[in-house]
Amino acid sequence: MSDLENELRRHFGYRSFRPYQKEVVESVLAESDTIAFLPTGMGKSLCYQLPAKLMTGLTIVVSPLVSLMEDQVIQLRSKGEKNAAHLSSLLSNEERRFVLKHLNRWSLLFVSPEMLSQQWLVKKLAARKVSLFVVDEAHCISQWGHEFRTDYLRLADVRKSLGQPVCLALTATATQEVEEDIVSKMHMVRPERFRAPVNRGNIFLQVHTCENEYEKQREFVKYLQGFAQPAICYAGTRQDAEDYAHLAAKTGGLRTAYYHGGVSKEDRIMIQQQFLNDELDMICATNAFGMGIDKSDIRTIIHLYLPQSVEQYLQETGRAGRDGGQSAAKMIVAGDDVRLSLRMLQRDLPDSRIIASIFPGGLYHRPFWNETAELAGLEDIYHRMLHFYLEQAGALKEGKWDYTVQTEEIKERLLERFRRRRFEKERQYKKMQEFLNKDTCIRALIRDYFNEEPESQLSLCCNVCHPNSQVDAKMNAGSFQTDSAPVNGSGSWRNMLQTILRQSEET
Amino acid sequence: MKSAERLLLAAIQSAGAERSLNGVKHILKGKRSAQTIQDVRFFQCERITASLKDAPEVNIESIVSALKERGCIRSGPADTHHLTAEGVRYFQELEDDVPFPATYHGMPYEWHSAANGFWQRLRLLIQTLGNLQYDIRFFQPVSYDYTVQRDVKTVLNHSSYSKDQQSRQLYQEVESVLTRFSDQEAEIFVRRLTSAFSAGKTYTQLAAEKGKDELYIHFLHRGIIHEMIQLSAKESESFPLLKRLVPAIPNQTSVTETAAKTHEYIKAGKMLREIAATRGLKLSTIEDHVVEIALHDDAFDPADYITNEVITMAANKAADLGTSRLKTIKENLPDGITYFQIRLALAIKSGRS
Repeated sequence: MSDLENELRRHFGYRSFRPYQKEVVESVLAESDTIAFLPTGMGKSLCYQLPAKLMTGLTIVVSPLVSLMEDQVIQLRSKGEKNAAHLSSLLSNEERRFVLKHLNRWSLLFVSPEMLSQQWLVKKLAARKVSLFVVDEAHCISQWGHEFRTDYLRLADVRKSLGQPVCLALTATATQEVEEDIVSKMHMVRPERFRAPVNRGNIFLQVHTCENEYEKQREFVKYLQGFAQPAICYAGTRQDAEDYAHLAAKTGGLRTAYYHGGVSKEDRIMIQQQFLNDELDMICATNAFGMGIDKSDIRTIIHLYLPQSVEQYLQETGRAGRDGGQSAAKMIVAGDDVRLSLRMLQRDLPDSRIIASIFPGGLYHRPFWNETAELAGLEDIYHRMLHFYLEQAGALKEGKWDYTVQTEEIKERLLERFRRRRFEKERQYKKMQEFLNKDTCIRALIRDYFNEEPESQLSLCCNVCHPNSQVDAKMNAGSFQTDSAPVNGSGSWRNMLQTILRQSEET
Repeated sequence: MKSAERLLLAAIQSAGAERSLNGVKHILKGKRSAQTIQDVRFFQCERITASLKDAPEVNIESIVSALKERGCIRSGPADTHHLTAEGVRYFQELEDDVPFPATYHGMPYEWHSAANGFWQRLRLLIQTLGNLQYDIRFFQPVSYDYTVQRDVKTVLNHSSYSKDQQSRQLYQEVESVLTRFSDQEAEIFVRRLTSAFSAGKTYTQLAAEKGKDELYIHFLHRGIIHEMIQLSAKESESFPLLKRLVPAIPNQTSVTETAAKTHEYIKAGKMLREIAATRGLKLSTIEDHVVEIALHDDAFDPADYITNEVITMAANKAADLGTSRLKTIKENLPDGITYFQIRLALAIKSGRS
């Protein structure tokens, strides 16, 4: 057993690395900039958690998903790790002060990109030796990526301010175009590259198109007969998540819960834990769910909406079968769903009407940017995006419009930029729509999109290759737990309370 | 839905005839303003105050329009509302169907989120002791909140008793409170808890099982929590552990930060107009602050703004007319008394009664 495997065992209790993990860790420890493409469920986080243990300085992980960071830190803490913390909008002022005050205590620090746009914080971090700068969800740095974030463009400068530590860029999925973009935007020097194939052979891919909502519900109910559990069911709207959770409970007799941004945090944590404890058969969720779920035996992912890109589809379906067991991804969509996703996608970027209204001469234009943004009622994401571009173009200086520059020209450039972005997003969406064509192998479509080599024949590929197959509960029989644990004991409330606190009858 | 209707009917019956729907909403949401505090006292609706502050989300507008459609309430001028005969009947029906727990008291326990803070600490303590009892040392806490975690840690570590003794003590305290409730209520409370074996059930899940609405389950649960806090204060020697879980509640007399600042200026001898100018605020905002200060601070001397005679006159007039509607009171007072003075008079009277 090599040294690295010993360390793995010592710190995490695992006997061996999963594919690519060792190579990535070795590369980082050799102080090479590294870029790794590891599909969801391949143990991306270990690629920085282990180096954080072995390197002397601080490891900073930048991630756009604040609740995911929080979940990760909570999970690490619940396993006894005391040197991990996070800095994001989810912390109260008191907690944030605590994290900053004890900066020397942390070996692994998660930070949101928004926080890193604050100079004082970067200065504070720079006072420590930073050994590793991890950019998680690195595709967010690319305009060609499916989730571009303007805050990511500042990261190269942040890294420089921190003394140019080794950079590890991680993402689940990215085309080669996006890969080159990441390397150049992060100023990576001759990076080591590792790319795991995106295709996951143990997930049977199915797509079912319906005429209308009624037919969709019927197909859903039909699919629940004997399908493999536990499952995550992704819905396009909160209402759909609730409705389908009820439907599955009523017609399938399943233990279900719905999960979306409108559910209180207290309940969201409980539902996650119920799911981990096998107290639920199915969670119906908007895409807010599942980011940080560390559950390896999810058997089925159901899509009741059409993802906006192939990347998103792979990210969500990739939550199934991390244990390697046979799993399924079933998509059931109707024509309305195709239009719904298109509308949502178009809303991701401000339209020309909004842009016109904030520039000089526009209805909401005011000398101060914050005032302009407030009058125009800009959503947070638009606010940040426009602020970034306007500042970059020189139209804004210290929160005020600069009238000495050619704002008209800047406006045209901005409009052109958003036109191109929208076009690109629609192009990615069209790729996803090809999945509905019914005549091409779904895996072949994915392979072409990422320029991957064909793999060996699968006995369960997709519903184009194997139209009459289904992954059912029996396929993994014995390999996972089917009977559920007694829920807080049984009998009277007194008995239950005694069980919870382990009290005997006579107390 | 039914519980939300019941709550709205109760709130409109108390305050709806004299306050706009927004005013009613502020009472239920526990808005921290002088006006709302004053309203709560005047309409004596302390029980339901802030009941929607830390609760499942309720769309008040849609409940109100549903009640209107049923003919239960009718709108008056200035967005006021009152119950119709049908409204009174329906209210009675809901009282039987989704009763409001007798032990629920919004103002003392929901206004400062004491109930929520207590509950978060209690469930984390039960989860922690429950896991330790089964020799499980690492688990995911039900609360991510740092202050909650810290407080529970303090309770656990600063005790001369073993974990086993603490578990027994906690069991006895919780059991003895739950015994005061019906078996069904106690069962709901226990099934909500997170243990070493189970994450527990959410309000939504419990509501679906019981065929009731989520808000009903929430109020029922909070009724038990309120009783726990009250008992731990009243009979503290019997509830030493529960007592330690009551979060530090900000001083009841505290005013908003901005009003406190105004108070500083007043103490320094500044005129209200000067304060408004220095702080770049409207005079009316500064006057709001003065009302808020008067409401909270018995030692505040209002002599610069109002005479004792006017205070008595305005307060008596309000009592005679049986209203707190400023316009009505002003019309029945001699000219020259301002709205600010009337509000100040009412605040002083209600704050010091």
